[in-house]
Amino acid sequence: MKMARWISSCLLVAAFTLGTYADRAQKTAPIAMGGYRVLAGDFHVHSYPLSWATLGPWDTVMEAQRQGLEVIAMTGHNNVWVAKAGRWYSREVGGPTVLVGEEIVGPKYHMLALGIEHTVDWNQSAASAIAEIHRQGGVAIAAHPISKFWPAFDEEAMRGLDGAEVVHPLIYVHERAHREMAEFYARKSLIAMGDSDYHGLGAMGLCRTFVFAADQSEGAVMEALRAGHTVVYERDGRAHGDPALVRLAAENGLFDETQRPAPGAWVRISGGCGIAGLLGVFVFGLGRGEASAKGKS
Amino acid sequence: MLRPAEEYQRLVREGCGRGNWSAAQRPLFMVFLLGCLVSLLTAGSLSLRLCAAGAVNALFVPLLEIIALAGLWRSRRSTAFLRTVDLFFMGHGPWVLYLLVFCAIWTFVDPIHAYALTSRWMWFLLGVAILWSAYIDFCFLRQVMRESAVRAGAKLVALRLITWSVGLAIFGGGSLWPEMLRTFRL
Repeated sequence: MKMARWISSCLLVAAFTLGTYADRAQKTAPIAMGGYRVLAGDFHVHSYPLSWATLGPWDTVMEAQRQGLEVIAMTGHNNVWVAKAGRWYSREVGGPTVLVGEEIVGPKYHMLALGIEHTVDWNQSAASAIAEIHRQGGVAIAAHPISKFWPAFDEEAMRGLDGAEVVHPLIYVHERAHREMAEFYARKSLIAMGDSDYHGLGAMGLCRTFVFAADQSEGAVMEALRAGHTVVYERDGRAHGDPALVRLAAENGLFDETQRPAPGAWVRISGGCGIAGLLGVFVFGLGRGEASAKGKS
Repeated sequence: MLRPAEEYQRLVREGCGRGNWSAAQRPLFMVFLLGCLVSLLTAGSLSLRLCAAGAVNALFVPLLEIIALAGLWRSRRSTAFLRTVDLFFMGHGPWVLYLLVFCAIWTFVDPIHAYALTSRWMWFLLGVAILWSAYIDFCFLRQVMRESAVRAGAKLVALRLITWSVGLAIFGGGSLWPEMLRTFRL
């Protein structure tokens, strides 16, 4: 028993040593083409608390840096104060550009409000929420617009809507979601968005939006979004976005250049040791005088 | 975990209170475990930075449980409070097991497949963990808190209502109400 506990502890120590060593920000050289700075972004990121997320606003910023993202929008569920904390922190530490946003989660639709300063009330129609977002100078994006949300996007809402998520983890899980989001995106000329809807599972930036902006400032990113200067890729390289920019990106090999490497060996070993160590602690108890706990487990 | 009634009976009979530290040990392990969970889910590895961040955010979980337990604890009938806390946290096995399975999937499987796998199976396993832990806590209330079956059932419901409602409000309170409206078509 003592030996099993000792081995579990060693596995945990090894897991922490390797995992902490491997915990570094990805170094990516700035990409420029056609006179634009091409910024890797994720515009649908959630933080703890209130939004079913595991990382606090400062850790979200650091995680974005680790994933090589140059711009993120922190989109709390029906609030903006967590995003404001994240923006403040990122400015302090020289992190990625953080847009203050909100995921307006209503009973009939989910919508991203990017570049706003005040919470937009969820208890209103999609059309009036979009009008409120525009009043604040923001951009309205339909979040994962699968068919159950379509009734909320009536003619008036569609007239005001700026963009839609066309690449989202859901499209890889359900073929139907893939079809529906593509169909919604094709309704009119919309800003193409690829977001990971990050809550703490998987990797932030798993789905990305490449923004073609003048520079990395918040103002330039918002300007580029308003102009629809985005390109997003599905996993197989299928591109969506401004046709001229899609061509420019293809000529410059943007898709290949921005493929992210698989997790390294240290990360895999740390994960394996961590799971085994925690399982060992669970099965063999915490330490001295644990005979009774062992009996229970 | 498999025969909680007998085990709790035996543990209460044996007594063996081991001071304040032992009462803190299991709640702290839970915080540590949740911190590790955050790190594994985020990076697929255990890093001190992510583990500490997750642990700080998860501190409210055991605190909430201890406060709720204190509200239900009656000194005249049951064992000492610190021992009660220790025994209560012993019953978290189904949750620990569930979280470890969840973590293992997200650590070893690529995110896209993990999404597919967890959206199919994890709700079922979550249901099992909820029922299993409810049974263990019921036995805890019967054997350690010495409650009748009816009162143990009522206290179990109270315990869940207090901890889950506050916990869900902190964790996902921003969209709780509209999501409920959608789910129940109100």
